[in-house]
Amino acid sequence: MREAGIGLRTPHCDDLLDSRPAVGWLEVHPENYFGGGIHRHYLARAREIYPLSLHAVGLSLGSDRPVSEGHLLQIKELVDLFEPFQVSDHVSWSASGNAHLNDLLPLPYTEETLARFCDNVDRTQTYLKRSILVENPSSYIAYRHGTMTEHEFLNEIARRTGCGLLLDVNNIYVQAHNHGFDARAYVAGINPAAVGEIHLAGHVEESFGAQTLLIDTHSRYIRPEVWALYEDTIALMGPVPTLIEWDSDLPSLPDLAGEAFKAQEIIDRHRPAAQREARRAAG
Amino acid sequence: MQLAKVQENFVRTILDPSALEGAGASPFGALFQENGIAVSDRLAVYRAHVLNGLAGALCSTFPLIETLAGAAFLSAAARAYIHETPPVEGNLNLYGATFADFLTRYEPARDLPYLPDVARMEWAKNESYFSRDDEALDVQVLQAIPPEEMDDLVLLFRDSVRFVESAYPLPAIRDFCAHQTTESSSEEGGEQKQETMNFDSGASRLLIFRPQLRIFVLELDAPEYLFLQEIAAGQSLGWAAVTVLKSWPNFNLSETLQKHFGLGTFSGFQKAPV
Repeated sequence: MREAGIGLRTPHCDDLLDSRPAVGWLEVHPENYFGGGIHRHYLARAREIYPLSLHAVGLSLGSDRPVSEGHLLQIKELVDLFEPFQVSDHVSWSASGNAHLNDLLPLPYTEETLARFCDNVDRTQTYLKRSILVENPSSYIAYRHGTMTEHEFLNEIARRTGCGLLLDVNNIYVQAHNHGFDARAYVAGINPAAVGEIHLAGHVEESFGAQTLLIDTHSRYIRPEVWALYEDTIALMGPVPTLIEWDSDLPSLPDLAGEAFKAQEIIDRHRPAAQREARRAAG
Repeated sequence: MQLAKVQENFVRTILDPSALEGAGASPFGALFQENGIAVSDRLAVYRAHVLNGLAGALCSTFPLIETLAGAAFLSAAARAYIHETPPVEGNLNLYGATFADFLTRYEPARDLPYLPDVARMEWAKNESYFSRDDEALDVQVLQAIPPEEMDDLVLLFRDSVRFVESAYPLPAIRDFCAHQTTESSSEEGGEQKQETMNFDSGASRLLIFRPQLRIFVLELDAPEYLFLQEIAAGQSLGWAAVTVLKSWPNFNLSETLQKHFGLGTFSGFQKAPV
């Protein structure tokens, strides 16, 4: 199997179905396929060619309230219809009171948050009758009252709920810059057995006086520093399914697939020799 | 501060610019590390992302408003709407249901009275687009029904069916907008004379639906529109026809039904309760 996949975005659909690039799998946001219509029609056709992962953005697992059953119901319908090999959402929150903001907002890493977050992961896994992955976020602000590091928080979610981790290597790079920690120590601190998927994306830099924040925009090629961190992560964790995420200022489909091929080369380079042999023998 | 309180404050700070201004000195602002960048600047990154994302979603749902009133107008209206009515759920495709109503109250839109109805048409198209995929009623099934029972049937519409009625000529406005955008995108657009639009050239009644993948916008005459409205209200075929015939004695029931069976407007039927 090819481990490197791409996020499927509507403007690429026709090209994808015609040219069938040699990427391993596709990922979409299920929220874009709620209801019916032409999106779903395209997704069904793409699904005939590629394995699929559903990467939710709307469960708001970190909100201080139970996850929405209406939202879960619609995701479940897509799970039943498209049989994804993976379902995921984020370690963040979006909803409070009557407002559901379209952003992945930062959480204070405290025991209170951990308990709430794990309860929502439990509810989701019970409802969907499968385990999910949760993704480390990018953030631009940090709480003073956090009592654990982000990677400790992630490991603990996985330990308590049995869910897996979706490790976004670009987000780790962004977080390390924005909050001043060592990205490689973060990667080394993650329980590798919990990691079920990796994300890669581009970011931009924004200046604030003498300081800069890296903003996770999914609008650029992956930066060389992030590729280097990715290679170290793969060397540590082995051939983990890896996705190229690109959401705005989309490149052409061949350029997007090109980023996936780069990731695949790195995975292949670090594939244990025995596995490499077996793969060659299998053709 | 409890998580619920943190999140409540966070939302208010993102949606309300005055809350953001005061964030630095507030108990909420004191929750965050500064590390060389002001807390209000950090929160402003989130505010910009949320507002740009939501305004972008509204702009892509209401493109004709942009053509008619300009990008700056739509962007400002979208931001005012977001402040008043933030989304309530995590499916952005359903955000903007009350934008047309908002435009009726929005002061800068006062001189563009047709704008809310144009927005209603665009919202109906959006709902139709994301409606459930379903099948048209198989007319063969109807043929098995004895003619004397036909009057008691209650026809059911496809999930994608929406109706829009306006005092303004919505199809002509839509065509005018399409013409504007082709002109501005074509390089020799200057050669063609700018077409003018008479917004007061009459009312329109629309049936919007998606038989399969493409959305249809059909203009209906008054009797046909009333007939379909009666059916949508749950009236039997017989009652709906009688209601229409009262005002339009020449209404042709069987022709209208044949037209909509052909289009695939209906998904099924029930027998009216006796």
